[in-house]
Amino acid sequence: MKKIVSNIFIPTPDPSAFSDEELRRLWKAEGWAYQQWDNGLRERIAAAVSPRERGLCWAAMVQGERLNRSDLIRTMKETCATGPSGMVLSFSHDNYISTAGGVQNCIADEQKALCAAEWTYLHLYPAHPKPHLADPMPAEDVVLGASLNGRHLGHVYMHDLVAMTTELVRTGVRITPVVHHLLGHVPERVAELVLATGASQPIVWAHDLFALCPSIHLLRNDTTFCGGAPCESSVCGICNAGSERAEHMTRIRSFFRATMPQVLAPSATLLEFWIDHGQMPHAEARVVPLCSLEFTGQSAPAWTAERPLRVGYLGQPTYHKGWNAFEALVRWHEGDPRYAFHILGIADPGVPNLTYRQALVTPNNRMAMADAVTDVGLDVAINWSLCYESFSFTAMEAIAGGAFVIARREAGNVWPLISSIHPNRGRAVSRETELQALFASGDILALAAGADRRLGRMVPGHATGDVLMAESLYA
Amino acid sequence: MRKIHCFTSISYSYLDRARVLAETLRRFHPDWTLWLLMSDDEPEGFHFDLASEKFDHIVNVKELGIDNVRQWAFGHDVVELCTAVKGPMMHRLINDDVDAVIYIDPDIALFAPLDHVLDMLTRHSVVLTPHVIQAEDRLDGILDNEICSLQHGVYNLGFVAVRSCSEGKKFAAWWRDRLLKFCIDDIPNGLFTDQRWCDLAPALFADVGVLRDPGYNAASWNLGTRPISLSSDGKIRAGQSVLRFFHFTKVNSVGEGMLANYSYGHTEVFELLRWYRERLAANTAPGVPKGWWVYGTYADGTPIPRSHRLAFRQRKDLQDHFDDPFLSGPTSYQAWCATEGLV
Repeated sequence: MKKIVSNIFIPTPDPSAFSDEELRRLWKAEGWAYQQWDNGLRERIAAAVSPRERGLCWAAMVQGERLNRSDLIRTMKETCATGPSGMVLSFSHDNYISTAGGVQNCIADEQKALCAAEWTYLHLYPAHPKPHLADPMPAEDVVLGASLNGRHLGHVYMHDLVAMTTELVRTGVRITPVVHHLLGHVPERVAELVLATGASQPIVWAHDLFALCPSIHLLRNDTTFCGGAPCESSVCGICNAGSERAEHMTRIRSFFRATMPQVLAPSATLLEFWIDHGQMPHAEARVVPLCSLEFTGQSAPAWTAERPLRVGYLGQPTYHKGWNAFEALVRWHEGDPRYAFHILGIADPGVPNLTYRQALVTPNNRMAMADAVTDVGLDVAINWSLCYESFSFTAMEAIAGGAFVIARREAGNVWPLISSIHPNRGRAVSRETELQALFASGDILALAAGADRRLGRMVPGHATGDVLMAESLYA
Repeated sequence: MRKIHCFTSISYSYLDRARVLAETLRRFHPDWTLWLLMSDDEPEGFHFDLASEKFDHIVNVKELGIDNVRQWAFGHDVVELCTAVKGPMMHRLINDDVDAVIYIDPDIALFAPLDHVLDMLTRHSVVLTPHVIQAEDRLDGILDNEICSLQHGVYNLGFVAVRSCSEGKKFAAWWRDRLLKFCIDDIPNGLFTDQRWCDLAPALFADVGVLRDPGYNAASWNLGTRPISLSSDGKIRAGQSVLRFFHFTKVNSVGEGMLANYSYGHTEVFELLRWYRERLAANTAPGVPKGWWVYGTYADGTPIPRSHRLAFRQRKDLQDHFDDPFLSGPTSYQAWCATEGLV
């Protein structure tokens, strides 16, 4: 096999005689930049299917016994009697007690804070999760999983919840609906339940861009942030989620029109985009950060040229969080004494030239990732998320752990969050070639040497809890 | 210009493609009259129901008034036949009560209205789109695209628009006559179905317009000079222009490789391809066997070799002797070919 480069024939090995890894090494020796043999992006595009098709294989997740109407009303009356502050009727896409994640942790923080302030907290999630809105159906057919004050309650039916709510309101219980997510829900039925509470201003969170599209991160064909292309535009029309978007937005808009909520968002970046592109009816909107950072007064050891720069990736090695860009760097710089690459998370991708360190963030250990960053001594974290991040816990974890952060400039709140801390806390670049150039040239070494490396503690907020408790003070 | 009639030409194997074309035509030009020109018969067990299709009319090759139509069809392979019928169909429609007739290949999909075509039709008798509109600066581009255009025709006849005027009607009559006799794939002798003929059109007819907007007829052969981009304003662009229609030529075979070659690592065009394949799947015609074409086999089901078609096309004595060349049996043309060792 011969390859033509600038009209010069360069002999190259017969690919069939070598493994991919061996071939990469041989080609690299010839001066070729790292590249995948196959085009991963093309494969990902080709595999993109509509949310509805993706949801076909999602299994029902009903847990526990069904609570009949009388038991439900009795249980809630008894519980509300012990929680004089009021009751929160909370909705999200899954069970925050058994699933880890940013939104789930946020709900857990909120529930604990409100329960501590003598609120009753009933959380509801679809018994049959879907990566899209559930089809319209009567309330008696809508099954929801339920937990009460952080404990599994079983599953309940929507028409029983409406009856329960009506009864509680009749007996004077003040109920505040808090909708964290509508994924998998029937928004028409959720709206009816919200209205049954009689709350003057329900709360709806914009944790992501689900109000705008079933593709919650607006990743067109599962690959590229679309920037909120107009619904029914040509670009929207060729997206895997495009065919479902118009009906989705119509139903979501009807929900907002019916409930006229107060909208909460974890960052101004997300909220501005959500308002500009969603145009959803709402009463008011405000930013409620999910977490804050307190610096400890200490700093991570500065990088010096006597050792390799420790460069890390935080979290799951998935395409949309920027794994492919990081993996390319890891492979290309194999054998490069300037860098040592690490991944911190719960999955070892088994890539050469990469050291894996387990780090599992749980509701009880929210500093696990930040602590791992400090323990490993990461000098630089790469946050190459391809999503429009609404908050970015991973960016905050990297900072709390003392790392300098390289961010993709267009990744939603990632860069605003980093740049708000200190000019030398990170660097934003727009294109993957710029990222590669930072490492190939060694410019990253100078940036790391002069970086702000203060260590911090992440202080979780109480999400809606802060809002409700503040309002209670002034009620 | 109000009465626009638009047609495409297929065998039943291409019904999915034609349906996708019709879907997109209906979206952007709901007032056009759509015709499906069918050079085929329904396979057993499949029924084409016009009422459930997006086409207004269907015309079979046998309804075009072509002399000895079965013999004529036998002399063409499927591409040649589905191309040759475009001439008679254009001629028939342009002489009806229409303002203009537009032919579009079935493997094309629209992404925006064809405004420039309608505008040009107010000034031009015929509108053609060239394969390439910008000089290539790489050797492989010259070989693949410029020399290929010289071989296959300057203009891509996946699209042609004709105004109902005297010069447009002259063009249609000429094109019909040439295609009835010479719509063949014979590049060494200067012919490639209907396309090479239209190299002559600007010289033979007045007011032939050449539409050079890169948004029209984007395809693998010109992708290198008009890359596809997708922007947050919702527009799909080819180069700097809004993409009007893309030609998905052979995208399930060699075409995808050509798209890869000329997208230079960018993947937007593969997003178009993903969508196109999704629409093909949604518009598939269950009951049409893969590769079905009624003129593709002898009566006993044996595929007809190209050599048999060429011999029959070239020899008047064979045409005189075998009234129906598709028949099988001891006195058939098929048997004669076997005796003569024609494989």
